[in-house]
Amino acid sequence: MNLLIEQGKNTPKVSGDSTSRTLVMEGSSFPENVRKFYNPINDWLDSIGNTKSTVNIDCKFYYLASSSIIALLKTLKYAEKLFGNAKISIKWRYEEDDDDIRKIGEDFSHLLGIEFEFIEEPEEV
Amino acid sequence: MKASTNTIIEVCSSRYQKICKDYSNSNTDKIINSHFGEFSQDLVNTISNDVEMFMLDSGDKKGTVKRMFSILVEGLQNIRLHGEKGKEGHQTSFFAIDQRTDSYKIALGNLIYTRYNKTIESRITEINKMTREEVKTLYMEVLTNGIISKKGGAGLGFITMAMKSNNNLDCFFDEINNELSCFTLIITLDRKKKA
Repeated sequence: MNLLIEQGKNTPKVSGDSTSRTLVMEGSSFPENVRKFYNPINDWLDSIGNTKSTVNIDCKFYYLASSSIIALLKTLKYAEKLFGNAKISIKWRYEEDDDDIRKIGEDFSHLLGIEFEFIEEPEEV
Repeated sequence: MKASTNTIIEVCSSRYQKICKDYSNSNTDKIINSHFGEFSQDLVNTISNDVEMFMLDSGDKKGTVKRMFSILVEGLQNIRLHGEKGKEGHQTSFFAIDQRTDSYKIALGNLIYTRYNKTIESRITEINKMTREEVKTLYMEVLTNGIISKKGGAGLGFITMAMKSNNNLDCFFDEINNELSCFTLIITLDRKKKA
């Protein structure tokens, strides 16, 4: 099962490829009803099953509201519970000089006990 | 007894007018965006995007713009999720942003139950007394325990606004009656301009 959520006014684009076991999230996240937005992502994680292959999570956020930060952390914790630390690879992309988004990734990495790959990207004009 | 809509509007409007007057009193101050009334999710999106564009055009650094965006989204969603309603179901609220040479002042107002005035004031005082490190520790604690309420709040609103502004939060409580008060939160964000 593949997942595709188009970018909304206050929600990121999300795509999940079950063959490559890759989840990509990109954009800003500040929906009021975070549960409604993040639950389908958790369902997709459920759907790909636990195999020997790594699950790749690729995040590039421009802005995350506090409720989205908690919802996203819960999703990552859920992935950790389903697949275990060793089988999750997380890329955390952030715009050049965007310390706030980088710090959110560092906090997540610390709380999850998973080493993130931090990738600084040029600022979009 | 519930306050009438007129009384609610009178008290909230009086605070809003006072803020707007204070913000327009100097040649260097300029109100860049304001609204009195209810806030729809669409209006929150529009205001946040308009302010972002305005600040970029004013030469503010992207970091400052993002911090403003964060404060606005947290503050306006806070109003929508937690602002109480009068007996006719109106969620009377307001906001105004004042641009100064070196900073922005963001005023956010909404109705709260009068019985919570002291609790909210204590919460803000407690955050103001904390060092940056202590606020960060509190943030990590809330993040670890991460509970999202039925309304969608995560309990991080004041903490996030304090962290993003890096200044003390100010507040006013204008009691309408025993049941409702107009709560105003003032956030100061220092400006950093592009070189």
